[in-house]
Amino acid sequence: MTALLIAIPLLTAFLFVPFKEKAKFILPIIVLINIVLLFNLSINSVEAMGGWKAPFGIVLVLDSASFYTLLVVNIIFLIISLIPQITENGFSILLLILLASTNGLILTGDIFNSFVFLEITAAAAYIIASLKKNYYGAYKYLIVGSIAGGFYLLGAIYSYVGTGSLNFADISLNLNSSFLPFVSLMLFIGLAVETKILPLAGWVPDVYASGSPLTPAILGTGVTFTMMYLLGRIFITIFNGYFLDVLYIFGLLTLILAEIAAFRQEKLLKALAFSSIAQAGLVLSTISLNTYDAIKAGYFHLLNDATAKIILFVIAATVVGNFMKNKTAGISFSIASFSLIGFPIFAGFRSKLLILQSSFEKGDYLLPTVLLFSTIIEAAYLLKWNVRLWHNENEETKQIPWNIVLITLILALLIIFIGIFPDLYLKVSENITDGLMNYKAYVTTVLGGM
Amino acid sequence: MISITNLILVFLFGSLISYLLTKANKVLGSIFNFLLTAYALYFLWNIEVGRSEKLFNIFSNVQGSLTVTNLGKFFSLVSFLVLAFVAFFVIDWIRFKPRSYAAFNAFYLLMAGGSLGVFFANDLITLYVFWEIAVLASFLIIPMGDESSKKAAVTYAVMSALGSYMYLFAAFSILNRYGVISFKEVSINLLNEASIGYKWFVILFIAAAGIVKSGIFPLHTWLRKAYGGSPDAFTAAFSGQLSKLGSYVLAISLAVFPTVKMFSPLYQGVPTLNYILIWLGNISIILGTFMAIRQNDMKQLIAYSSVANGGYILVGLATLDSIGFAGGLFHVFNHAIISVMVFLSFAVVILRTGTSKIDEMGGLIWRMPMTFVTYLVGIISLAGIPPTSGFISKWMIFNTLVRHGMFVTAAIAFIGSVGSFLYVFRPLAGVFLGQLKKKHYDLKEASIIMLIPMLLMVALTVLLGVYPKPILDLIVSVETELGIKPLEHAGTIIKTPLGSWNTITVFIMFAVGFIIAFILYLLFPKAKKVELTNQYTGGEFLYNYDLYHYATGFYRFIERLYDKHPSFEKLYEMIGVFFKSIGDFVTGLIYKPSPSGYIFWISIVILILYWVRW
Repeated sequence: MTALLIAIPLLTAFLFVPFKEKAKFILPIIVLINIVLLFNLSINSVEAMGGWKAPFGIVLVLDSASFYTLLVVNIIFLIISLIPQITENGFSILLLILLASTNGLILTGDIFNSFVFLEITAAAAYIIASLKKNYYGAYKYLIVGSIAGGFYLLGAIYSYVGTGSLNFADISLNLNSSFLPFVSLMLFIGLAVETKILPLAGWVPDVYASGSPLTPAILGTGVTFTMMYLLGRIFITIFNGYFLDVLYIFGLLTLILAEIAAFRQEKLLKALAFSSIAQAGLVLSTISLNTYDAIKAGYFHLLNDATAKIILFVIAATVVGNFMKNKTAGISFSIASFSLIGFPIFAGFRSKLLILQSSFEKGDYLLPTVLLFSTIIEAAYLLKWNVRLWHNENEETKQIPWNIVLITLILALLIIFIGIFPDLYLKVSENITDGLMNYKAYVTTVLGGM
Repeated sequence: MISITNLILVFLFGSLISYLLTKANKVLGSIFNFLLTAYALYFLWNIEVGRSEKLFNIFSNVQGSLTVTNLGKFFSLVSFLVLAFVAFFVIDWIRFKPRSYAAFNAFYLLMAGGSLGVFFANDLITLYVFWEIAVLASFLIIPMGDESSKKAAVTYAVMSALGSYMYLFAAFSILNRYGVISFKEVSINLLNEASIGYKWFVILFIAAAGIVKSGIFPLHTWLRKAYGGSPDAFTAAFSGQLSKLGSYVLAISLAVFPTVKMFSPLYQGVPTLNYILIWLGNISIILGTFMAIRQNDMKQLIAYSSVANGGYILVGLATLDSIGFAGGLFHVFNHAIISVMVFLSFAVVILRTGTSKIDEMGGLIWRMPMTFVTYLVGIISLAGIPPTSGFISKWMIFNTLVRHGMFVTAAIAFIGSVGSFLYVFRPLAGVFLGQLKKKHYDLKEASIIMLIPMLLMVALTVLLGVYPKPILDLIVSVETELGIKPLEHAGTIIKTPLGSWNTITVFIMFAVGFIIAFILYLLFPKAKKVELTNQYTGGEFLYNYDLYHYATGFYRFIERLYDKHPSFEKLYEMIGVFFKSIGDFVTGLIYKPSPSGYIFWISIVILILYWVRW
């Protein structure tokens, strides 16, 4: 049953190749089917592909972490599919493939299989990146992404040599400890490109700032969420906290450097792209504190960031002129940016409080300092952009489609709702954390109590 | 009587209603704003101290709550007095605002609600939440002003963020160390704290938020542009109300957390930390005064004066002496109503003339006498001349400084006070006195609705200068609550070890002097009225009288002494440029290179990781 989550979108994608124009309409239906299907699956189930039992065959693991990540990613796809204007003809099929591969990436319990899905995700992402004739950006991404994929594969090979198996749970149990440094290094390089860790995130601004709302809206939220999940799965569940100190330092560097770079940018979309790099760094260093509260806060922040970033990217890429003519879109944009800065009543405030709280609990004073300092810089450029967009004299106007306005407004209201009653997002992040941290349960579920 | 929580909610949701009402009818929405703030003022006057309400869960184990304290009550009364008066002024003023009027009214209420929460917050984080709401709302109003206000708003928000994040860092460090955040429990824990360094860190970081907000050196640079550029009526609330949030946080960090008991005294019972803050206040006084003298824009001039007055408040509060602290609190009240008078009269002038440059005006007393009276009484109070209430607070602060033997500090405070005569005279002479320009011949006086709040404030400052008992009573209750020896007073007589001050006597002396002058004025022959051009110089008649109004380079002879002064504004701009260059550097290294550059970075990362770890 679990396999259907991957099979349905993949199959539909191939079926609709002759009817490219119609794929737009099938996308939301497929995502809805996926979500309904997801709710009918039982958590903590393992499905062995082709009947081969755990260490030998490929397994799809649905525990609380992967269940909720799937839910989040599919809902993001649903939101994107409800604004078909931003998807150019034919790209809906790519979104279907992307959906299949991210679902696979989240579900799979096999390292080589995860490499395959990683490559499919990346391939779809390269094509999406080339929207609006942004070929050079896509080319940059292609080169750096393929090399990263190569390193990921190398990591998978090393772990196979060190374990004799490709299964995540088996690697976690039986990996020869002398291989551990090499495997984690290779996998880190592989994932660092996709999770946007400096200095390997040079491709991001070009790809995100192509002018197409679709590229950043899906790559910066859904795909990033998937990659962050995979990173947590590998470094927290499988390596059980090993290598996290390196991630912590890279995360902090990313946070501060990317915020400063964003402060410098003269184009809104580029500034947002750098901001998205910075937030990824923040989430990375928070989850690498490796306590229950910290990981919870990290994923909670990632959810808030994704919600805000969809609004910001979609509106920044569609609005022309100033917000006085598009008040509703402007209000959503402002709410999203206030949430990103972390003003009270907005969701971002909650997550920043939790991050501060959890890092102080851990006795870490560096992360709060860097976080608060970079937030000042973030406030500087986001507020500058808000003032500029509300109060400029540009008389140019373009009608924004009503569904974009409506959906961004709903998301903006959601941000306020989460800011006041954060339980909804907290529950999601708690469950993801439960699944990621409970590595014994993961191993027993997959290997069946060996 | 409704609960405070509900009142705050009324303000937060009222902002939406106000938006819709103002959208429908500008005046209606503003009347709604006024009624709400006036009701809050009435509510606060009758509120009983000690009342406490649960609010929301900050974390699962930490509950936010509101408590009414005397200190909070004092500050909130001052605040809402200002807010209600300005809201009344806005009823007519808003008719002339071409755009963003609905948002203006909505954010005004939002700011009021945030401030209300700040004054009654019972713990550090609740205070922070409401504080940020007030900051956000005020940030949203500032860019509705003139062209320069766009940048000013961002500078304001960034500086404010600097202060409030330092505060937040300290708050979390306290929560982590003691497990409590309510002011009472934290101060008990701080008393028993062994580490001196930690206590310094906590007090300084918490005070940082207040230092930024009340415009104390070295974080004062945002005031000039933010006050200068923000919408004119709002500047009155900004300076009169919002900056008082800063004074409130300063009072908390210095008096609610008992700094005198926490640290050993350095000099005359004042600990080193408080002494440093007194010096910061001193520098603000000097800097604000001398920079105000230089300004040609009248709003920016009074903005620097706010820096200086923030300094007086800080000096008064930081002495933690019975009279000094009372003087600081009284000055909070005085500066609040002075700001309203001065900035509202400026708002009228700008509304009528369309400029805020002093040398573009002159002789407006002939067209707007009531506005002139408001400004005149405002600056008399600002300069601290009896019988206005501004004198009492300055006198109390001076008294304390002299009594403690802080002669350098006292000297600086005196210099600042003399300097304030100079700078307040500049708009008086440049805007209201002198020759009326031809283009201003058919200006009108402010409408009656605008004049009511202005003249009521005039009456208030004179009345409280003669009979300060209501304010003194409030201050005594605050001091009793904070464990400072309460000020001794008997209604109109303030007793200090250096002798007492009877406000009635002083008032009668001034009144007699005034009456004598008035009689002389009646007895002596009237001055002859002449046409502006009916005069001559060097044997020639004058025809172009516009040139003979002396307002440009008014204090050139003083300014010349410090023309090459070091500027913190430039320093902060340099920091901004510095970060931009780092941004350039990062972008150049990481983003600009071609894909081969990215491969280079991958290999560098691998090499570093190999080198560091294995």
